[in-house]
Amino acid sequence: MLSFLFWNLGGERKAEAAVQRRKEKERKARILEMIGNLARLHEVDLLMLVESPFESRTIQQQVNKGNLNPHKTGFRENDPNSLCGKVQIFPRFPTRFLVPRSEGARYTGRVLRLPSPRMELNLFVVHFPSKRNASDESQSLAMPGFSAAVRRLENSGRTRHERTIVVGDLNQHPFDTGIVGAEGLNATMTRFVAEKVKRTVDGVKYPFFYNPMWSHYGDSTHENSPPGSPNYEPPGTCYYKASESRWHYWNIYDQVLLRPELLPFFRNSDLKILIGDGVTSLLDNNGIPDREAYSDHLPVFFRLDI
Amino acid sequence: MADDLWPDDFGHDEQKPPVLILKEQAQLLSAKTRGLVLGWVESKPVPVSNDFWHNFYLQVPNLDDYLFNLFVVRHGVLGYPATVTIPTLKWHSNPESSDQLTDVLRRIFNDAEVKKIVRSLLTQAQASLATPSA
Repeated sequence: MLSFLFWNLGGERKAEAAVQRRKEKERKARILEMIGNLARLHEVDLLMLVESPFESRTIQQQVNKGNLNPHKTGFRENDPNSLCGKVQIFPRFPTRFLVPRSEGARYTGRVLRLPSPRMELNLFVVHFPSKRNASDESQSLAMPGFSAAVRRLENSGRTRHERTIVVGDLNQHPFDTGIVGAEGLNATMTRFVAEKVKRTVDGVKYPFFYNPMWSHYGDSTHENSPPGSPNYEPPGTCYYKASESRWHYWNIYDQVLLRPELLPFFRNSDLKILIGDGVTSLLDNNGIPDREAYSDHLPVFFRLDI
Repeated sequence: MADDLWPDDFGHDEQKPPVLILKEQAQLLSAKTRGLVLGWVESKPVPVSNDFWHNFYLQVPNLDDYLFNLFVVRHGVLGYPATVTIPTLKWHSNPESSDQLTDVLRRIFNDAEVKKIVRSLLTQAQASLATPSA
């Protein structure tokens, strides 16, 4: 089993007054402790962070707390040679097994090559521009370029395969054009469709991704597990309110996309939007992400049986 | 036999197409770095919208063909106006001619952040050459 944890930490907040600086310092300390707790609780193998206000070394020290042999089983540092400054990745294995192969300012594509018998994977970790800074059209227009970079990596190298994972803050809804569009990521909501592997539009074949995040919308489980209960499942990964006419409140910008080749190794029950470490909650009293205390995003945890 | 309705001459386009300018610059980078960092342009049509886009990559053969996507150019059938998106520099531009596209590229290539990226890749490529394989 290989365990992945992704979390958008909400960045460094402006703090001019002394009281704001103190609050921000406290928030960062809470986040740091939560990262360590989540990594230990879920036995995370790959910790992936965006909008991190921390230096790589600080995170590494935190997640390795209590580890008596950090050189053998602890988290390694974020690759200092990566040219994607938006993403930090801390593997719980030597960094030589996670090689940057295809990067841009907002994504890092790595080949994860663990010793046999584990299969090789392509892992893209992304943080795409926010809807506050990019129009829906701009977001959609950017996706064919990224999608091509993904396919380029899949079709290169010694062992060509489509065992590819895209994970991160895509800053788009699972139903946005850039995510579902054939020329974008072509990510579909059901295994049944994804297992068809490709679809053809205007004579061009496009490979599918499966997007399991669709199943995490809504409150269908809240009758039995209301907000505040330990098994509460949030209706998204981030919540925003506004006086706009068309508004979703809950959003799933943080997503995990899997190529069909990986579906035999993934169970939907192995993907969770985390709400805390079992002791401390990441949610406020209304069951929405406590952005004052932590981040406006909730972490996403998933495992692959490989 | 059907009448040929087409004109005898389609005229001459004064504008260099974006892909040609990009490929020229890619080759110049490859030559300037003596093959350590290659410029590489990946072009694809977008059938649904009749657009074309071009990924401009920096490629490092000595680093397992590592690719860095520096910017993306997208345009319609006519080539101009084009949209240049440069995530590294957090800006975009809409050149309306080959001259304007050339100016945009000059600005990108001479930006301190882009020079830092190319320098970093060059350094890593040179280091990998110097490291004896195990």
